[in-house]
Amino acid sequence: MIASFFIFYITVTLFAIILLGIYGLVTRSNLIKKIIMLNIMGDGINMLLILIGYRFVFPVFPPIYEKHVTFEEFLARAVDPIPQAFVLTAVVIGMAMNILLISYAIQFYRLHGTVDARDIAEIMGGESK
Amino acid sequence: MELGLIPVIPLGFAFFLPPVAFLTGKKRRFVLIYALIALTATFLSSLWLFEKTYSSNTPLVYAFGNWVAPIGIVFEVDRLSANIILTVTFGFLMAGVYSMRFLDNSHGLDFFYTFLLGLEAGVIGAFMTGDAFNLFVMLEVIGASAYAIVGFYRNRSKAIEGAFKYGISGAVATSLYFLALGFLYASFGTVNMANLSAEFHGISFPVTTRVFGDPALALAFFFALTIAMVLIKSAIFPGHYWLPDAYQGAPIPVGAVMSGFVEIVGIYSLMRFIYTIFQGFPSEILSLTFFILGSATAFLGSIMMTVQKDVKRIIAYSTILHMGYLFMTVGAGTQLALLAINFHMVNHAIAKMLLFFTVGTFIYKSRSTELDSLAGIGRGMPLTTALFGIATLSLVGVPPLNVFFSKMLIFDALLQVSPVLASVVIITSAIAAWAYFRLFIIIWRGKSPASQEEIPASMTSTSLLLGILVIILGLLAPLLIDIYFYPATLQAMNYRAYIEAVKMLVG
Repeated sequence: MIASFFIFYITVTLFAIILLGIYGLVTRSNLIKKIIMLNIMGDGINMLLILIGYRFVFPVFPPIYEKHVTFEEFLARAVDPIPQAFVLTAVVIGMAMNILLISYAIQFYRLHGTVDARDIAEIMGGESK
Repeated sequence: MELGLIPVIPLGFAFFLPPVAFLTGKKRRFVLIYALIALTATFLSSLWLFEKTYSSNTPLVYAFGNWVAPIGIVFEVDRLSANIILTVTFGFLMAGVYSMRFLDNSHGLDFFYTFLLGLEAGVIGAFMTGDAFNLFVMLEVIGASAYAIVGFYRNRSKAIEGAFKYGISGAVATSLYFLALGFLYASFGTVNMANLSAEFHGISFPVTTRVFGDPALALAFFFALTIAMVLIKSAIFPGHYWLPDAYQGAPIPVGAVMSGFVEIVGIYSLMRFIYTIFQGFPSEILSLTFFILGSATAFLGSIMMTVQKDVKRIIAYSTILHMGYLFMTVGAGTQLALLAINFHMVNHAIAKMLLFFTVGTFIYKSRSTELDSLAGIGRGMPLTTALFGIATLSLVGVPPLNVFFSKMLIFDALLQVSPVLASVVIITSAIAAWAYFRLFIIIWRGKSPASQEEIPASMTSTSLLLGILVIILGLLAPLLIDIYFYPATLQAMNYRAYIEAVKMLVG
């Protein structure tokens, strides 16, 4: 009962975080803030995937099958490692993307002296539309 | 040779290019030879793959590290993937040869080729993969290389702006696809494509997992998020905004491979999900989405083509137009539609590369992409102008050239759904024809500028080769459809064989 309420609460929060990330990505004009919002959204998605593999029981087993546990009990109590593997991959990729995007933001700053998308549109004379 | 090695060839060469170039003192000649060896090796291996898939009756499967299907990652290549991969590797080879002299005055040629090879590895991997999560990884491999290579001219603000826009949109798109995979995994307990198909069609599969919750609901979420990814990655109407900026900033050969191959990855994955894996998914609403967004994209692309002042942006909107056709046709859901999409992917890539290369030659000579400064440039270059004419005629859809036949197939496929949809193809083609005609007039009329720039043989010869291919593919189109493309669609629609090929590996 408490576990299902807990799952519901976390899921709703994570979806709110993901939507908040997308909202911020669209509305903020500062490039650094855009990157931060991208990360908030990405981390919300990562957390949601971790939640899929998690088991809300006590005690939780590591995902290594041992002989003295029955198979049904193992299935019910062992955390699913595959979503964690997915998230691990996504986190590493996300870091590479962050570095790339931040290097572009730095290059922006070198060229224009600003990281605000509104200023850049002004500098380029509205041509950048 | 194993088929899993094919994407590893460009990837391995790409990894070692920067240190090797650094150790040899960044000699241009060395970097070029190294890159061309890598591109040629990939092209030859894809020829081998093409021959092998067409001589085998079942799709070829390669299990990484011998870990069998639902546990490990597999590559599954059928004829549909193989004929697109052959086009991809050929196109990248042409782009590599073309860039040899096109990037004469730019620094960082070693990084350019590193990212070009990385892009090739990602695109081939995305077409070969038999695992939905591996597709996500391949999309990110494509993304990382593409965002970097679009910002190649890093001192031009246009290039940086385009690359940042593309980068942040692409990162959101792949994140959404990652969320889609979460829904898929939570419901089906697997992300292997053959296993997913088996679960969906109720066929038994080794290491079976029970389906959790309502699979139809999970699939609805999955398709919604995957389509959102494709909207951005393939530049379909609400998600097309990054493409003109990115293409305007990118070097011409990059634009050519992006337009021909990187954009179709999204469409291809959607096609794989709808036509092979979840074949028979109740799709009236899905089809309606495809028709509405696809025709909106086609209209937007063709109308915007007529008002641009920059030649690269004209081609960029032309790409959006053709992506709209492909996206529309995905909604038809018949075997004819699959045939049309497959043939159009190949034809559009070759014709669009020719258009990019000839326009790139004009840009190389005039050092500008503004339409006004290109006036009369074609007078001094009759061969390039003729090839440019062939490319535009082909993309409009004039009979003996290749895109005509694929457009006709698209028209047929859409006519089975509704004549209104089919007429969208005709109307947008006519609008696009006007834009091309205007571009041609500008390039042909006016005083020829006094530029004494010599056109390198590598650029002319690649354009000539592609021009000949455009004509040959057009003349042999009925034959090619019968021999190569029709069997490919037959195999792609046969989900039982797709599942069996993986099950046989499990033993």
